[in-house]
Amino acid sequence: MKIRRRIGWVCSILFAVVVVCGSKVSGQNVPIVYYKLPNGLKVVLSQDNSAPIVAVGVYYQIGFRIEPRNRTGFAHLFEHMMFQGSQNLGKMEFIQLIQKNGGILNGSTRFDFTNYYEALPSNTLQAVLWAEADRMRGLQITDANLSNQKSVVTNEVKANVINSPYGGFPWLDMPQYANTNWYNSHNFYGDLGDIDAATLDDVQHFFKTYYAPNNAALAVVGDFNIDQAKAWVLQYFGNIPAGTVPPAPDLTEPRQTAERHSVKIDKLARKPALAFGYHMPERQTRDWYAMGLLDQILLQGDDSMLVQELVKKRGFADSVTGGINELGNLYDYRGPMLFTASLIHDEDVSTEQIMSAVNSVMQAVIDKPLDQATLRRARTKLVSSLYDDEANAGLGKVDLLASFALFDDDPGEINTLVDKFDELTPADLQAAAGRYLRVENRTVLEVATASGKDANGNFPSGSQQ
Amino acid sequence: MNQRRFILLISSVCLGGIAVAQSPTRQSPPEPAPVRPFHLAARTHYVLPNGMQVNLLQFGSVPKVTIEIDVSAGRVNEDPKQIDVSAITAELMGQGTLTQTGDELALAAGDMGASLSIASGTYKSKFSLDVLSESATGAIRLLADVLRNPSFPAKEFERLRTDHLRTRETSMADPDFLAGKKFAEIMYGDQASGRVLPTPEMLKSYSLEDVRQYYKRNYGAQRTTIYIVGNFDEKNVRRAVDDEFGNWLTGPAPDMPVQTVATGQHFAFVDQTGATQSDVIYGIAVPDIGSPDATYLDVMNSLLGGSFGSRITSNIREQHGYSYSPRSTLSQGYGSNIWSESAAITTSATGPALQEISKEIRRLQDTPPTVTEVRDIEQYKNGVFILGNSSRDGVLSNLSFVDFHHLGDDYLTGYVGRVQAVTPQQIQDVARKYLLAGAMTLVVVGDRAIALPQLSSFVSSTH
Repeated sequence: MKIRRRIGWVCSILFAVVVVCGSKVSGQNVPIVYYKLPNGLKVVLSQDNSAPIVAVGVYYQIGFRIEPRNRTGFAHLFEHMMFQGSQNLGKMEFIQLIQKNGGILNGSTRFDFTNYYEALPSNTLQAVLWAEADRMRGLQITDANLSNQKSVVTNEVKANVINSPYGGFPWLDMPQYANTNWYNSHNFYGDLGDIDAATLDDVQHFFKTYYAPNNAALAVVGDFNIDQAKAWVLQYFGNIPAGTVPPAPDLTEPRQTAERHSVKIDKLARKPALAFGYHMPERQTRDWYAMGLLDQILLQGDDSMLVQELVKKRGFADSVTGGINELGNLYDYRGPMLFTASLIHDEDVSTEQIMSAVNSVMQAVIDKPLDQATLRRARTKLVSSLYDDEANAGLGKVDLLASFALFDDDPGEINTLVDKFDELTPADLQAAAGRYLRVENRTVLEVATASGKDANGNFPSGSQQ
Repeated sequence: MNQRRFILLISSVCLGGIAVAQSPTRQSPPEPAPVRPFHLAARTHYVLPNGMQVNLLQFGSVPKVTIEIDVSAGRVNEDPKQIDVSAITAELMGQGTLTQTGDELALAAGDMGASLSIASGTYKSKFSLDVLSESATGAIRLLADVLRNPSFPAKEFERLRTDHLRTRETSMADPDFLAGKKFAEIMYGDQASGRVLPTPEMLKSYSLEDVRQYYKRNYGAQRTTIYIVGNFDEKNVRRAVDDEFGNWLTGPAPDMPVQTVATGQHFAFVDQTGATQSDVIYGIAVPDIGSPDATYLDVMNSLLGGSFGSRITSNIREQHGYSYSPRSTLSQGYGSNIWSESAAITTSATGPALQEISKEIRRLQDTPPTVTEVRDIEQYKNGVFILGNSSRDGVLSNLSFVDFHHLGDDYLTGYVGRVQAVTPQQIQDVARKYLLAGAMTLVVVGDRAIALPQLSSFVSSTH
């Protein structure tokens, strides 16, 4: 069973776009025009005339990792504030503008960025660029608006976590249990007390610190004229002053040397659940590409080894799901990151039974090189999913182009990805598995029902197992 | 907008601090350029001699193709005492054929860049593969094998039974699911759409023979439609469809009973002691998609609660902060339709939020919306329609939608024109005619001790 996540009209912390983007397997390249404005704004333009639509994304390099320590959940609350009014667009007017132009919009807060995006018929591009520039230039927010959005966000946390069985499992939980650096391990949806304590001063300070053009990337994908778009980008974004963005704090996680194991009690759940997560190698290393293929081999699709073992062969669950970066995809984060899998199972199956089966799968890829057919299948699945940007009105392509621009200053990576995966050999995958799928690099998180185990992993006296 | 007494202005002019209680002169957004031409691609449709419907549509620029097979075999075709047998049958079909095990099917799908997807609903079961273009004919062969030659392996049947028992349990803990279940039970009673979950005893009683019988009674060419959308070699694909399905037995004729929706006022409260939110559904039967009022209802819904900028969402989310993701929908059934507003509301605001929802319905009934508001929402709907027709998924689901409702492709080609022609008066009229306060059904899942006392005006008018 899939864990349900309710997505709101705007500002969902969980972003549904996990599909990613084009490759050159059949000889086609994603066309890219990339440049920077004098104020530092990174601009990526990519034409695709297959439908009269356009997708726009503004990605700011501020995710929930580095929000203020006494303001957990603030990066996400702030995301909501970006819809509450700017110089030329009052509360609700941004949303009304996009809607009356025939578009959809949303925003999301992730580990390493916060994004705002729209998809519309392509004749409306100018208005969208104008509106995104307007809110990059500055916000006009009242106490009433902030108070209103604190209530909305509190309701969001209740709907997705507090009042929902398996709420937050494992996407919100696992980083908190597996990581030790506060930036990676705090509750990024936010303690309700912290959310309530936010002030207009906080909003102003956060905007001033992080929402500067030199800390952002703008991506436009679809049916538009490049020269015209460049002129509009310059006209609307060109005179927004650059800011002084503080250096990023130390986000590194120490190498894990022993397996971690935790139990979380979920009073609403009626069946136990289990998640296991491994620290990922650094992005864009050979091991990282190898883990991208190992994810396909181990966890993606009915043919994958964990699905075959845990679902089909052992019947522990109806599904086992997860992947690399549960709030996005393999490409749209900076790191550190986890590779996580989870399942809901019956009471008569123990954690030990499940983890023993998991160990047998992991040990198989550590002990022996995979055969060429398995490697080929993994590449085919990866390429097939790369093409699926089309299913999302260009927003999948926006996500990759903006992420590569923001983190690597090179959106052209979109066109070299497949080559990098193609270079990998069975020996590369085996080596990466040995380094990263080892037990000592793993965190196991159990969800126990109210009548099941306590937080120490013991069964209360009198309960049955 | 009179909430500007305390304005925080952070702009290029005063990056330094909190400032000014007055906005500078506001600029207006640029007007859109002329609309670029948008044409719905036409499908090729034909019928095999055995009655199977075939639809082909070349679409998009990426080398992928989606192949979906819809079979008229759903919950409506179940024995009422065998809830979920339709779903178990469809799922079990993916677990092995006479010549391939489930594992082999999964590996073959993986080699095409896909996983076999199977979903079963009230009227239909769907089988699909989204593959690289080069694998189009292979995908057709795989799907044909699954549809025509299922082996119904006993071991996998037991596994699926266990899965359904477990899923049933987990669903029963989800307040959102419980609200939908109770609402469906009230609106559809003992008809198929009201039979939301089997009992554990039911699930335990099913035999493999029940599944075989369901398959025999409900699968065959006459009940089957294939959609192939994306980039593909048409000649090869047509040949593959003919080869793989041409000699399939005609099978049973479609059996799609229309379900009637309850009228009159109903109220139900499902207690979840300690719940921090009330999951609420407030709705009523309205005319179905074939009615002359259907387009008016569609636009009315978007304006009232079916979009982020809609009246109810603006009110209970953006003004009051009662809920994160409220929304209204039209649930188009087969010959039936329900308008409803759903929201997860902070427990202490359950009554006030419902009052505001009622107030917004009344406001629309009392005063027609302005021409501008209606034009804006029509442009929104038409833009979303264009976006929806810009992906394989969207195109395919539109074709499947018009076929299911026997609407014809002119429903799609005429959509933009019909929406643009809707007037403020027509929106007010359908709100008055159909959203009758005295006949609304209300379902609340939440903390009874706190939420129920807030609902006196809704409950007392019911009993």
